[in-house]
Amino acid sequence: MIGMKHHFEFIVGIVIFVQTAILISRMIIREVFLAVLLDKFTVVYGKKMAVDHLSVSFPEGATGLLGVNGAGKSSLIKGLLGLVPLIDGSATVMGKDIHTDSRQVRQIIGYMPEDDCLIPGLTGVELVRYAGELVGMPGTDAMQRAHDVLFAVGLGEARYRNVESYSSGMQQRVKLAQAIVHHPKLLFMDEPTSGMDPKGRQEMLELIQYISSKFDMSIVLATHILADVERTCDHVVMIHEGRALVQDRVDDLRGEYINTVTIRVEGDRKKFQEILVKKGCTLLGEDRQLLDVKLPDKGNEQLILKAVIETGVVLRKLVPSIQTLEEVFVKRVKGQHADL
Amino acid sequence: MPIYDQNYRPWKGRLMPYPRAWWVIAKTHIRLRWKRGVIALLIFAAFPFLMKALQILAMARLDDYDFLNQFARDLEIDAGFFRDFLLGQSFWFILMIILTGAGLIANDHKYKANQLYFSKPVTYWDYMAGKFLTVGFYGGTITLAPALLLFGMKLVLAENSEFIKSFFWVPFSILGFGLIALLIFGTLMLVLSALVSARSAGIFFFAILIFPDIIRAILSGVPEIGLISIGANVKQVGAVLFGLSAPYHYSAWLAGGALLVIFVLCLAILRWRIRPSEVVT
Repeated sequence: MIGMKHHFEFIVGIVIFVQTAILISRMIIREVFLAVLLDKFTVVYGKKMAVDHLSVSFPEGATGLLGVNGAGKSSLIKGLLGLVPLIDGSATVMGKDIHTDSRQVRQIIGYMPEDDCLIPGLTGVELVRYAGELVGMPGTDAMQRAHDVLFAVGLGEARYRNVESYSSGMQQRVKLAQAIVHHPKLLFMDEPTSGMDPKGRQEMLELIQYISSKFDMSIVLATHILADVERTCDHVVMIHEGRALVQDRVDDLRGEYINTVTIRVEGDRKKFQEILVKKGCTLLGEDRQLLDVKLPDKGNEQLILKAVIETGVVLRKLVPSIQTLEEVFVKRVKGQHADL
Repeated sequence: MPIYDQNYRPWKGRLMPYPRAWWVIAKTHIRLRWKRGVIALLIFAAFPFLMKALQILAMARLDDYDFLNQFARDLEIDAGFFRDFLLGQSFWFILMIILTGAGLIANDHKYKANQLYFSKPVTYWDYMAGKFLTVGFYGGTITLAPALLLFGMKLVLAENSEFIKSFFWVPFSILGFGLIALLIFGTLMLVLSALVSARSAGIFFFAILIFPDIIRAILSGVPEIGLISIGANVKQVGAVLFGLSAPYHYSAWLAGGALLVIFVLCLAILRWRIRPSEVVT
């Protein structure tokens, strides 16, 4: 009896070990393998350089592609899909070259465009089935899958309605359904929450999070809504005017600003800054009398108070500094324009 | 209930390495046009066919019923009979082309659906072939198919092999004439659909067919002016294909050349207008 118990514990131990190993290896693989790799990727519209010799990579998993309107997010995705011609550079998607294997690339990806992208006259289920068949799914599979996917995106009840009668939120959902009907390895989503009400937006983000975390499907989420990326993505690529601003893990990027405070003082600011530097602080920048200061690793706010006492300035504001991705982004954009 | 609770499941099937996208596009749009009431036009377009079929039947039973002689005595079933049937279908054919073709590309532009196609493994030729087959299917249903059916009917009801010996080439003429008409009018419709809205495409299509004929009628003293009329050129080429005398006083070769130029021009415009993504600069 005791022997059997030992065997049981041993087997349970093995199972837990294997599961942990699989989980860790999956995380490592996601970090190491790249969903998209761009090298001097260039897209030009007339005289406008939409994507300017961009060399970045998107790891597997969920990656946010951030940028203001006109930054080049949509152009980057369209360039990868062959929807707009490339002027220069190369790219691989899931290890396949977009020039030489373009047909295979377009089979393994799903694309949820920003535009309407509907076929009037078709019902929701017909549109999704159509999309599935165009990718290469057998007809019966495409039809069955269309029903499943429409239920998954919350359009089960409306699947027999003509798509042109859908509200903008419903159109977003049906666009997502047509993009994931064949369960692509990589899903490009261009502004997926635009035109959605708060509840719909919440549901869309939950689905993105669910798909990217539970299934073997990487996601590139192009948006200017930073909160969406913050909530759903592990990595972020920020672009501005067709060029990369930053590429990092979301947590690491926000981590850069941990131990950072924003201070406003009245009095001899120059002397105050000198004292701060002597105490090991790093001055990150000054904007409208607000001073961003990174404290030394082991330092804390007491350091600031000591500097205030030593210099005799009046402390008007002392708050933890930049924490959100939005603030990181604004900071980087400002920084780039300062360089220019 | 949040949508993620509704259980998204991955699909584990296998994709076809070379999907026949042109066929998927064609069958979907054929079905879509059917839903939109093409059936009514098909019924109207079937009347001339029924009349011709009755005529063939009457000719076959002349000896049995004396009263039929009065109707059918002067009718002869030869190559001209089939050419005339095809020309007689022109009105319905044009209507059918407009009804099925005007929105084919215009709606894709209006709803920006091109990205739906070209983000998938669909080539330009898949797209064009699928769209053309939609127009071709319905155009052919009221021209090629009934003409070939009439020929088959005459063959079955013929008393001896004289008819087939004399007119074995007629099915090829029907095919040739029907395909030329489909290629020219179908492609022209697609070009207009790619250039303007669905409604305007229909109006422009009528205009392109009617105005040159009006000019031709006004300047009737100059035979070559017929070259500007697509309808006249198709008739001219059709007459040659059926071994009949040309209806207009200019070369059928010239007419064929004019049609070829129009066709190539249409293909060039389509190549220019069909873009995966509209670029706004």
